[in-house]
Amino acid sequence: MTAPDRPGDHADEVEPPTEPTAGDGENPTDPLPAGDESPTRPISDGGEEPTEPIPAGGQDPTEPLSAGAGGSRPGTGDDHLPGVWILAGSIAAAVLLVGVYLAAGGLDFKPAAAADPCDAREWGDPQGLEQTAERFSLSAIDGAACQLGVSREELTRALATEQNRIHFGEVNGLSDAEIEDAIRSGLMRAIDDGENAGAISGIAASGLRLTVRVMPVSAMAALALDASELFQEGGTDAIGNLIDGALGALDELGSGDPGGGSGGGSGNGARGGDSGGGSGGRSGGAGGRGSGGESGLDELERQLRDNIPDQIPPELEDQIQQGLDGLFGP
Amino acid sequence: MSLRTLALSGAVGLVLADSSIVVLALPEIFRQFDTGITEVAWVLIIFNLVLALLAVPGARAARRFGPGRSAAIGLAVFAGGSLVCGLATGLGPLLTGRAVQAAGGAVAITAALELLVSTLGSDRRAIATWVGAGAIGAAVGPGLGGVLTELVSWQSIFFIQVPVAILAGVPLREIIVEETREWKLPAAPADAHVEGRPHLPANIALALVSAAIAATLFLIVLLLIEGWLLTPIEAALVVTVLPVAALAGSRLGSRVESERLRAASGAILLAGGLAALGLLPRASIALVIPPQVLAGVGLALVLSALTEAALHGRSEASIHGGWTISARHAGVVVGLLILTPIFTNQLERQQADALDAGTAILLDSPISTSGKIELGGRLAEQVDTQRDRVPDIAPAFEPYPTDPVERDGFEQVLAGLEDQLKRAATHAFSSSFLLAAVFSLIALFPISLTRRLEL
Repeated sequence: MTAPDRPGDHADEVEPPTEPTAGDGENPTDPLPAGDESPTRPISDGGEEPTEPIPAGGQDPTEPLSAGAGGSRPGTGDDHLPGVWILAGSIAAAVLLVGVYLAAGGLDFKPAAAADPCDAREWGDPQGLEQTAERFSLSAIDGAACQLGVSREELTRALATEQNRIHFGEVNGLSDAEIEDAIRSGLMRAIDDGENAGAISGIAASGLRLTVRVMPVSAMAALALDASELFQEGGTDAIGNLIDGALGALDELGSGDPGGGSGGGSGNGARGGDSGGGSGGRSGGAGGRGSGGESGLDELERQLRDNIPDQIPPELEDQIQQGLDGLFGP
Repeated sequence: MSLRTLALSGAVGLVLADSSIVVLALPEIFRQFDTGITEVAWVLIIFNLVLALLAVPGARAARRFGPGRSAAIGLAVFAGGSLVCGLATGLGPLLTGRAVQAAGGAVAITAALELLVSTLGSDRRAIATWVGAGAIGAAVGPGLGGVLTELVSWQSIFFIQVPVAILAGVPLREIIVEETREWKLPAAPADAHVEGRPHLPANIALALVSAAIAATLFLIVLLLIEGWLLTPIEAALVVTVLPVAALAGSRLGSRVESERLRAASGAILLAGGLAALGLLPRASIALVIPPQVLAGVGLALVLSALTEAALHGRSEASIHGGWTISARHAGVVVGLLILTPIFTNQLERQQADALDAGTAILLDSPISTSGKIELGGRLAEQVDTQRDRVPDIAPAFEPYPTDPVERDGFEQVLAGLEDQLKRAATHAFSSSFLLAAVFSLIALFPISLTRRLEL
């Protein structure tokens, strides 16, 4: 398949030239081309003569092919540059630029990687109830995400709306039960983290654990994303109310009256009271939170009322009772 | 430079500019036609594909019917195609118009090479003029298209080509008259060194570097407009560096003695520029300039060297010119077909990563919980409404809260999110730029054979 070498074919294998040569500087034996190699040659714009015959193949047959085929360049005389210099310069420029960009962090300029939700996140020293609530929510999401093997951020977006949650379940092949279980675990972890950080008292933690065990998934999702209701001003009432609910349920368990409405209200009063929650009973507590409509917490309380009698296991009853006894006295 | 040379160079520049002139208009086109990046890339692909397929047949037609008449007909068809593009109301008609443009353009540019040889009296000078006009046209195209898109409309890019194509044909009237009077198919020169078959290594190398060059133009523009949200004019100013560097590169190239070393140097510079674009350490316009300088100089060196290598010593300049056009534009098509899906896939992945990073910023921000929930909802809505592209999230932050602490939090989150989006957008292009750099480096193999394997 190889064609015979043309006279100029090996021209640039003679490189770099040891001395300036006439013509293209590649092969001193090449004849000077008839083209525009000579700077003194006037440029031919001969096309203005319409009768000029168009050369066969677009090439002037009188022009030595070797000049063209040999890759000779228009550069002439002293102004030409050895190709090797250009090659070396090109390599140096390319390597230098790429090196500088790499050294400046070219490989790291990408979105920040999501933190591993299974790693413990510092609670620090949350100031005020709102920060405590925020830490609680973040811990809860971390815990749930860890169990599901997704990022905290992805789970947060998934829990933002029902539609997102369904999509999230489909994409990750997770059933509602698995998601629910993970959120429950996340909330438990948040309670543990809060208790360990000293931000949630032991008794509140017990009440919260009890609550989380019976909480419906919709309320859990709301609580995981925003626990401020639990911790906001008067929010201790909310915890108190949850505990009240638990106590009430325990009383009901003891009295065999599962349909009973209000539970014991002593807890609130014992905690130093306040306007809403101290009056005993959950309705007062809800009013104390000042919520405009039925919140996740309201629903939670209702669920507690409905579900606790059937769902509290005996060992948890004891645990809660011990916790309350420890706090308020037997 | 005579009027005819100017007109012929202008015709070549116009046609080859068209392979890239719509790049800056693509975002506008896909918004108007409500389509995606993959679909809108066909506005480029179809033009380059038809040009690649018809360049050699176009050259044969030019030799058979006379280059003057062929060039005139080619320019007329090109003008007609441009008109169809300008009037297109959907992607289908636009793609049809682009195909017509390319068909006319293929005939016009190969005939122009034949005419330049006779006009300039030297095949080497004709080739240099032809290659230079094409390279400058291709490099100037995106900037020009960007300015027209922003100042007038993307349609104006095509409308303005109609009179330009017609004007480029006017100086051909004398040749047309002459050819009409008498035109004979030129006989092949009786020279032992005449080679009729295309120069395979040079053409393969041309295809590979053209794939890389397509990436340079297409991806830089998308990065600037879609990734960094620059306006088309701003982007045009930034990418003007490329043709300016290409001009400097052609001056440098004219002083380099070895064709092969010139081509190799160009390919290495092009690869270096592309690799640097794939490794940008920040989303900064200043950092896009040095890689463009390297790529611009590189493309001028490598394109001219390889085209000259492919044409020198071969009879029927227009046909071999057609082969180089075919090789180059086939390379562009392959480059776009390979790089576009990689880029769009990366963009999707990076958007997901940016979403996670953005969510983390919001979650960890000092904004109140209720503020986070509300802002998160607005951001989600904003991202949804700008699906398939890097979203402009600033509107989601309006109105800013009046509380100064909360307001500071909003500003922090906005700055953090924009940073993450720029990181994601920039990183989304990395793989494509790096792959394009690999194309350019692979071209070194056929370049190394340009002397020894004359197929």
